[in-house]
Amino acid sequence: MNIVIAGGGKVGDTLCNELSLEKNDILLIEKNQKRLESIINKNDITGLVGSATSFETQVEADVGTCDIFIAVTPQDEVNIISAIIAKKLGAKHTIARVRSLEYANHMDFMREGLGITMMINPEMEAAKDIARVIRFPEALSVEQFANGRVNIVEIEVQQSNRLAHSYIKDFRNNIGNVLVCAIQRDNGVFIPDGYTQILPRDHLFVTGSTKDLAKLYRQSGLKKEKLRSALIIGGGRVTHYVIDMLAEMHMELKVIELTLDAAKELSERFPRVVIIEGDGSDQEFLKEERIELYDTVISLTGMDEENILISLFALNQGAKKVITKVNRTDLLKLMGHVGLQSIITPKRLIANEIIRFVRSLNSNDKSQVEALFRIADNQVETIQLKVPNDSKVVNRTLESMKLKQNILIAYIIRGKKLIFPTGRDVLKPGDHVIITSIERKLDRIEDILA
Amino acid sequence: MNKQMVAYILGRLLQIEALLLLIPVVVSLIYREPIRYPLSFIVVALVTGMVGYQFTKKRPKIKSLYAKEGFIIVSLSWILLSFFGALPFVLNGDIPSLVDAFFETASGFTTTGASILNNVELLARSSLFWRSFTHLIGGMGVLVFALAVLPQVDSGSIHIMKAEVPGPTFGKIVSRLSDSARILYIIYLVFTAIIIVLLLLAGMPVFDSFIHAFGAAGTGGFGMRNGSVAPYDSVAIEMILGVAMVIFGINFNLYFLIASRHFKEAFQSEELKWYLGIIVGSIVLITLQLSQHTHTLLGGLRDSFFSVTSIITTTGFSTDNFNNWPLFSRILLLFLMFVGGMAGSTGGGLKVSRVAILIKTAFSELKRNTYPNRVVTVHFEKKPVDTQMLKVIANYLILYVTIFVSILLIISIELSDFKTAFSAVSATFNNIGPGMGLVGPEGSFAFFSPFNKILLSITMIMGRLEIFPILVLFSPGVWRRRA
Repeated sequence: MNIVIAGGGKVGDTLCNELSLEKNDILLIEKNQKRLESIINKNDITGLVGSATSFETQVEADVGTCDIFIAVTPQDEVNIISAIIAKKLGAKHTIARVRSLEYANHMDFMREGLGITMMINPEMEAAKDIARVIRFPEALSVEQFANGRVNIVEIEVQQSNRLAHSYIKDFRNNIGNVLVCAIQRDNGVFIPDGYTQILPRDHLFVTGSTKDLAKLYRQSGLKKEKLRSALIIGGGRVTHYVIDMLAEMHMELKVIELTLDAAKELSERFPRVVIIEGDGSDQEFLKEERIELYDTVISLTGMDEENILISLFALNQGAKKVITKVNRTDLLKLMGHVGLQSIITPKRLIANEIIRFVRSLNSNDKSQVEALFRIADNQVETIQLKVPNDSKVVNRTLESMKLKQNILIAYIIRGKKLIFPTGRDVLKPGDHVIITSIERKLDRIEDILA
Repeated sequence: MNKQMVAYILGRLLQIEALLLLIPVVVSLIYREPIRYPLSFIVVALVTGMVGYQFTKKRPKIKSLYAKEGFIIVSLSWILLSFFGALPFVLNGDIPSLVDAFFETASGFTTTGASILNNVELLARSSLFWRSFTHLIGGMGVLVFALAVLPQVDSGSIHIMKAEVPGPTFGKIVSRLSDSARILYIIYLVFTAIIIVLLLLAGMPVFDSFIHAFGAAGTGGFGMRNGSVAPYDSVAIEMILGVAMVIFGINFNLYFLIASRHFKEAFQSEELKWYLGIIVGSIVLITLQLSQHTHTLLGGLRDSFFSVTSIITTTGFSTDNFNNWPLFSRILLLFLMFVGGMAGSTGGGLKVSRVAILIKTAFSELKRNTYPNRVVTVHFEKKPVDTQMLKVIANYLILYVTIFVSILLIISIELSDFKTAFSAVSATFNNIGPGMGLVGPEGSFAFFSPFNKILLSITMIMGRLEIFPILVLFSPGVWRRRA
């Protein structure tokens, strides 16, 4: 697919890397020549030095014939205007990153009025992610398929947990219709078989319906109290969005913000939330604000390092759930197992969102991807595929098919029925299948066959 | 320095060369040559393939390639390919000395066309074919070929392509590297095929058409007769080859622009205007002078057209011995040797774009001196050239001159004639082939000592790769891990 990306910042860089690996033809428009050259040297793409809003630049970049135009420069206005130009020039789809509240509140109007296919807001996505993690306190991260009927949750197995040292094959008998579809152990990820033993500190990625997962939590002693209060450190854009969502869940909120102006703005917008002006990276100050009384601590300052340290301190003070915003995920690799639980990376989130969109466009012609999630630091892909009528896999039992390695069929959705597959189940036309795989680039259901 | 990866890619290249070495075997069988000819190519192909296999047996764990690896891979691969490509000549006895054969093959791969053979006509057909076939391979670049045919391209491969494609700047024509390489090669091969057909139509024998088309395509210049193209004595053949050389001296990206219907951009290229302007100007001047001396007006036009196109594109075919031309014309040809083809073409030399930018910079300096407060920027291809780029080009010129002079110094120990020494270095460094004096169109490089032959071989490779890769290879710190 022909993709033009405007803006080579963090998101632009990530998109260039991941989309070019998925065999798309990519052209990057970037103002700064040095920056452009360094991205070109790392990725198999071409580039153009220039401004994304310039008509000439866009014509030179052949935006008129591209399939997708993605504007991810730092400025909303530049993104919107360049996306409009691209649309008028003939780009099939345009995506613009828009983060300002002024525009974000009227996404639908902007989308329809201006002809922009998709507007994405990294902070909004981050906020949604945070809200989801808080709604399911047992899980480190949650992704949802099929209108929320199927979930993939990440859980950590503690030393004292019942699950530690048990085998996957006993899982079903003991717990029921949930499936461990991937295990992350010491920075590596693999898809387990029946004889895999679960070790302490493993991160399990489990699929199941909300009801079955609840049973899993109860059975395995993972069950946690509902989270009722949250301390948010940092009053940036994510905070604005997340307060709205958490207030709906009736949580008691306190926000610590360093600058008076930002704190004032927050208190004007959210009169019922406690807003504190002060330095959230100061441990004495956090103690003064009774950090130990909050069961959730969310670090959302602009500095990755501060966020990590605040979260470590919060864990130390006995917070039940700690959510950390980290943009440079390399930092986490250095830290190893320090017990940070839920990590939010806004640029990853929107890169994934865009990649999902690109994949779903592919699906119009030959692939059948309906939804796509990446879990375990992007190492595992979980996708939802539709089974077409004329497929080779139709009406064959799962046992009789020879599947590729590192592939697992997690769920079959037939109409309103959720089927938790066994070897004797068959795939029927019109089924939606949820598949987990380590090898990427599954486009069609036939791709699972060895 | 990722030595494993360097070895792996070199191994892959040797395997490709082994496959290419099998093509002359076919030629040899068609012409029913004595058994030692096909055998020599088969043996060398096997050996090369085995060595390549040894290198590729271990798949490297870390696949990252950076600029330094790119330079090392490119320079080493050109030296290795020339070495293995030379072996068949030694085995079948056409060029018994290994040094001579290495010189000849390096001259082939770098599309120089300088020869150590006093009598080309003694060579067997298969040897002649391989000799010219190296032009075709080397013209577009061996590694570009590898990138086009090898399925899996890692992100660092751009450093390889950058190091091999000639010219001050490097632009991919489409976003995927392997597609870019493939498109370049398709354009290249289609043009070559067209020229073969045209030469056949002009009455050239089949084998000769292939040889000369390869020579023109790579802007190499190996012929198969003593006296290069002169013995055919056909205006049609000379016109076809002359135009072909001009075409292969043009930046291939322009052809891609034309193929993708961006005619305006293609024809507005400033470099193209400079290139054609220099060619037409030189032809007019030389024709005028020749017609005053030995030639008729038309005869002068015919010879000057062929010689000018052959020299500026650094091909080195010849029809008339320009050694006998009046001094002004010879000096003009000497200048053209340094200009060379356009960036991104198969030609050598300094490249038209560099020369044009240097001239423009010089004039801008003049403006600055007359109006000290004036802000002057140099424009090229309708875009301002930033100071960093100007610095890069100026430094390249300094390096170019320094190396030129150093090699000239070393060569002069052996030679007594300035004209021969100077033109021998410029003919090899600019990948032209024949020079003037003893190394002129009717002479050869046979009389050089083995040491100087090797030196000139390296000079040719250095000229083809635009100096830096070879310098990096021989710089002392480069094999250290952290340097």
